[in-house]
Amino acid sequence: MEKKYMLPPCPEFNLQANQTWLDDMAKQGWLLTDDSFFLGVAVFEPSAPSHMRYRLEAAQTHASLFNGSDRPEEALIQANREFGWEYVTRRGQFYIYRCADPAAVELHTDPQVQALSVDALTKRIRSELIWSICHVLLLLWLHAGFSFALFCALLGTPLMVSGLALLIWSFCDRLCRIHRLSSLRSQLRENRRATQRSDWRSGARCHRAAAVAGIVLPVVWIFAVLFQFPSKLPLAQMEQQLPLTASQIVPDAEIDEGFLDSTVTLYEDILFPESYELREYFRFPEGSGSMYIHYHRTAAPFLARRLVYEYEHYFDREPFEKDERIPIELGELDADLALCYRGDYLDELYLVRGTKAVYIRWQFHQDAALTAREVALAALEALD
Amino acid sequence: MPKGPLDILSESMFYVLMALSKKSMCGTEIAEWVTRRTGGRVTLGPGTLYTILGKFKEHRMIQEVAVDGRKRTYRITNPGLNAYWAERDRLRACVRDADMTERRY
Repeated sequence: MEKKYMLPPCPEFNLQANQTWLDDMAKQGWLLTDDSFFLGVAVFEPSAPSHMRYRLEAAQTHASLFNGSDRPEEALIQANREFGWEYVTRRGQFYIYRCADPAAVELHTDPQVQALSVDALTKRIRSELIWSICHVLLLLWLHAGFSFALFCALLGTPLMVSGLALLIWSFCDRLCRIHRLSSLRSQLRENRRATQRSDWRSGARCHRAAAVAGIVLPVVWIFAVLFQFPSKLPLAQMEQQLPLTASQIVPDAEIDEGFLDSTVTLYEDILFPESYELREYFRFPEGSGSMYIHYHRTAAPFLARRLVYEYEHYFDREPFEKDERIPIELGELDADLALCYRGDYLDELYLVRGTKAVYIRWQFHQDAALTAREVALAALEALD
Repeated sequence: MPKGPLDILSESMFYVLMALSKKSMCGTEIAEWVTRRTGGRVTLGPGTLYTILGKFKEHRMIQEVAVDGRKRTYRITNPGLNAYWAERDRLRACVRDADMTERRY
């Protein structure tokens, strides 16, 4: 028996449009099946054309496959059946019933009572929206700001963009739901029943586009998560030459294979084609030291500047370092941007030249070491 | 002070309490009783009926006294009776005022 699969033409919260659409499908000989809306797709099975009444009822507790309330209680299903109403399936937070008997009493005969059931649903969605906003604000606060470019460089632009798009879609979706439910509540409280026919075709294209976005975005995001794994390896095993390493900055420096491993973590992204994080412990004739280099080659100069800005303002430094940093004067340099600070244990250098952004932190274990300006000059020469 | 959801009883709610004030009943018995009592003027759809019963149970205006398979019998509690009497008295006052008004004119 051939079934028909359709994306719903209207949101679940537009009760009248849903009911009219399903009634019209029944008149054309298509009945909704009980496995409908699993992934948001309505499934119909062929049947003789009939005058069927479909009605949606708001779930009183959060309806979900995972909490055992993806269908009403059996007692309620049985009780409704005694009145002629057969439970069909669930769409989102609404249970769908249908009745073939035109003489059977309506599912809802008192709009003000129906408004009470819609109230409970509105409160839940409002709480979800508030929680979502709190989560986002908490994330922003934990990361001391919004370092979007840095996250794109380290986690991947597809992941960040699809994640942001999904967040925006989710907010807009919840706001639309609250708006529709508020309209429905007002109507019911004015004692107007939600059984009138409605033109479900108007707005169908827009709704289906939004529904497709709601399916595609999470899939894109999941793929982005699965395929975005930076590779970390010991520096000694690195076969390709890195654009900037400690040995290019500190003369005669060699990797110190002591108890701490020098490593490099490589990132790849469409906006940041070449990025790595280098932790290098080295020895040189006058002593030893450590250097942490964050290097990014970006798709555009403004991205390089933005990255350095985010490193300077948002990047977490070592927990044992205090917040106070003392600026160091570097003098004239052939760079688009050059900033340097002295911290308690590590000095920090930020450089931008064209599409390249570099953030270096270093420490020399002996006094006879390079000055900040010498480090900056050596780094800029290596970037050429 | 904002009103709670059940501070104002709709007609359907009032008749459900009226039915239960007579004796304990299950859902279908309540619906049949109300239809008979009102001569068909008020009918309770299952969605309306079971929403009302759920809300009354949540607010302890009724309680379940027996479960026989899927059939559940309810009885009214003291708060439910008080709410019913308060609404009955309010409606009586409304009708009395309307009658006095009509007699004057």
